[in-house]
Amino acid sequence: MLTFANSLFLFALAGLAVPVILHLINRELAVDLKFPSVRFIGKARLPRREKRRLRDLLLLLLRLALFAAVVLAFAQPIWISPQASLAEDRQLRQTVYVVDASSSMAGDNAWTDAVSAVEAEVSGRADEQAGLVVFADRILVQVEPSDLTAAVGEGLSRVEPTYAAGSPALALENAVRLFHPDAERRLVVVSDFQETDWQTDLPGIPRGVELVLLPVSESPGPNTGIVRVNVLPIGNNLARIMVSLRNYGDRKVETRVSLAGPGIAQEKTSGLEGGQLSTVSFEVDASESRPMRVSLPDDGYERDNAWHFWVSPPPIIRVLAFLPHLDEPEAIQGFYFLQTALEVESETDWIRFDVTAVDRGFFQESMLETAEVMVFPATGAYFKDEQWDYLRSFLEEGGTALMMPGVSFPKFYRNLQTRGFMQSRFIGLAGNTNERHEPSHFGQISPNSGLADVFAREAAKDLYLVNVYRYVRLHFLGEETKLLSFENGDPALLSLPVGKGNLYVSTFAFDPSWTDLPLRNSFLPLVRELMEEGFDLDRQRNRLYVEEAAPLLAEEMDRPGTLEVEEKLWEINVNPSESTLARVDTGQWLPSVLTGEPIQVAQASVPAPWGATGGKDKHLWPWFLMFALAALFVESLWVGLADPVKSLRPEKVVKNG
Amino acid sequence: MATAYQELLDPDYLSRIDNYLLMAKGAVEGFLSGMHRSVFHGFGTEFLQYRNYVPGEDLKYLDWKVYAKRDQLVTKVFQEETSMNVYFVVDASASHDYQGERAACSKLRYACMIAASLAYLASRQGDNIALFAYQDSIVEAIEPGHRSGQLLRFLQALARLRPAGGADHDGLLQSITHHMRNRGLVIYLSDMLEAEKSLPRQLRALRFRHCDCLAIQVLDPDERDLPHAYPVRYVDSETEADVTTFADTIRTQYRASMDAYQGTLKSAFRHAQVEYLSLLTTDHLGHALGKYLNKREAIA
Repeated sequence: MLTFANSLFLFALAGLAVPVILHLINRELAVDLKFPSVRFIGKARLPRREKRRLRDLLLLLLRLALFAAVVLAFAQPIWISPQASLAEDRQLRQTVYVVDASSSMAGDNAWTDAVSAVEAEVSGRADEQAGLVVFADRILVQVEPSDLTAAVGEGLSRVEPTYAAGSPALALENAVRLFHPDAERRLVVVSDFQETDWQTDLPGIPRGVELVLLPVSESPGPNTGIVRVNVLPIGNNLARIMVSLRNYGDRKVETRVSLAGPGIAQEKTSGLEGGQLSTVSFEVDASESRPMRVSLPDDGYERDNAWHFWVSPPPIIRVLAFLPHLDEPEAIQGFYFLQTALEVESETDWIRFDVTAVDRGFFQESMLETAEVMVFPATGAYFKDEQWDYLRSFLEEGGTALMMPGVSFPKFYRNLQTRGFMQSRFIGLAGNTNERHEPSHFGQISPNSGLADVFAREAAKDLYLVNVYRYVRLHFLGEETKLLSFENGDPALLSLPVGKGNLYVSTFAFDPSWTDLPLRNSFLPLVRELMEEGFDLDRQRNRLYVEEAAPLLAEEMDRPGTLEVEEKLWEINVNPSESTLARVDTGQWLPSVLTGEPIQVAQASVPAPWGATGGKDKHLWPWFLMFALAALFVESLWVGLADPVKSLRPEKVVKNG
Repeated sequence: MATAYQELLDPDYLSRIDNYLLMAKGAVEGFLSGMHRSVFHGFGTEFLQYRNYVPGEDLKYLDWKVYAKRDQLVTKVFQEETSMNVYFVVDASASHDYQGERAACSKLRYACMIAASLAYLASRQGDNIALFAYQDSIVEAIEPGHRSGQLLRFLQALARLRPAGGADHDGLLQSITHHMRNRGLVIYLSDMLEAEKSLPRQLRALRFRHCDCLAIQVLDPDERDLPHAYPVRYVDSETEADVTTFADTIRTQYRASMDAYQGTLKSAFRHAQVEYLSLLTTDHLGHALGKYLNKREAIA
């Protein structure tokens, strides 16, 4: 039996009438030609046209066949063998179950309810084929629709809710592609329809697919979860543990917060209004590193009731300073001020720096892996092309770098601009070392930066009294963040984001010939805050969510907990994004979204051409296409070679005169 | 380099040069450089230059004194003393607008290229050149002269010509006859269609004015063989008369008629003692140049 995959194309066959009509109304007309003299040109009857007619008729038939073959090829004819045809007479019904296995499904018995709902549906529809798609942030299980409905139950039994957020769009697209195009299609979606997962770009379900939404855990119980835990040193070998809690329900709850660790057990009670965030703090001994756990009593969603962390200082931040030639003593002096400021240790600040000076000739790609921060006191002017590339890749990976001017400062700033690190344009040098010259002062700190917190109110006085004798003037274009600026608005310190990292550019050297800043109290907090601001402390502390990519710890990352691997401390916790109780409206909003723009069902859902599907269905479009190409070839030959009269005929009326 | 100068005279090449002076110069110089010996300096009385003696030349022009002194045979070349008027009569009627697919230019353009080349050659030899171009009446007229700028005026007039209207051969020849006071040569360029009886007679009359005549007929190859392989409604360029026909069926008859017509024309010119040359627009210009030089030498 012959059938067509795109039968609408068959309407194009009506176009066959056009050439026939043209052929019928087309008569051989004489071409007008202005000729010098018609004196010797006798009248003659036009040639007998029987031969031409026959030739034209054959040509017409060939062209009609060519057109028809192209149309039929587009219509995708399929030859179905009689046996297969008989089998298809029985209407095929298919149901694909899309089941949510995101982390939120672990609460309020949602997963058990979902499995029961699917099993009940499958058993109630024994005469249908059933398929399955289980999803979280990826497809976990996929079962193609078949008469073996037990495969659905088996597929469900293989999985349990993951710790990841859900990505229903991917699952819906996959599920729709599982349907046979000629089947009666039914799509059943089983989920808690949590707002954070479902309020995303969702694909439309094609027309003809019956959509059934089966919500589970529609009225979840109260949920209070831990959002974050921060550990801060407070001196005397003590640390303060700040636990941030959130009540996801709409009623006030009293909750008990328990802190447990080796030799430590503390408990506190906190009252949280509905939807509110609150902080509970504990003080613990921090004389040695120890893993700890904060927990809450069981509620509807248990996974966010515990937080694992280490009470220990974060790893030392390694700083590499690439020094220029020794004939630039100012730069080297600036480096020593910087080193002194960074290596200061404090009981109330766990962040420590280890500063190493390296000759600039050692600035190689291999050095990038050994440091978190790079300092270039007047070194940038001497970079080669590949060294700029090293710096860029270092920053893009999340590194921090600080650059200052030196002897060759014009070249250095022009390089920064031409290599795309900085938009601001180098103008020249402001001020000089002459004592009679009025020094410049800082005028403004960017209110959005961490510096604004450090130098708030009284603390800023010393900073504003700093004398800057000379600095490099830049035409600021506003593309960068001006962390610190002079009274006249000229930038003093720029923050240039590059990839995940940050490049800080100072317009003056940290040297007494440029400024007295290194000799002032503001220098230390300024430098340390600068270094810490461009830093992801969570990354430094190895804080991850369950199932986040971490190559070294692939297996251990499956569960929350604390780990120590190769002297590195890891904190693995549950992503709080799945804790919310908010659900989308499955009555009107979600169906209206899902029945909007249909998913384009890929060709892969129909059998491959050339009868590669076991011989039942045979796709004929390649044959039609080949026939069309052959006909086109013959037609071209016929017109071009076998019809010299036609080829001689001018395209348009020739007029001489 | 015979091939090179042949190419220089090819209408396909020459028709691409818009400037008639450049075209004529290229054609003439190319033609002359292709000759084995240049014998076309005049042999008048005014000494022009010496050149090596070529066997076969008249011995009376040998300079014996030079032979005695240097043991070298040289011939004296003289500037023509008596210049001649060369009248160019160009038919610019509408029938000259035709350009078949095989031709590189229209009949008028081809006629103008011949006129330009011959005028350049004549001017180079010191002759006075004149131009009369006509359709139903005279459209361009330049009196004979060889003042500076005469050739340029001649060529500019040629460049202005546009084919239109009919061709009044009789009226033209009658009106220009009174311009011909001195002996001269008339170069008549036309397709000569439908004038095979009157035209030779009219041109013969010029002989009474001491003018010799060279009649050059310019035809498109299509006019010889009617090559069109599809039905055509032929419309006469000048009379607008039309004939719808299929060339395949009348080609033989047409060719016979054309041959007969040209035979008649040739015979009539022979009787009228008028030199006749029939050219197709695909023929290279050497034919016309050679014919002219022969004619010019004969007159001299």
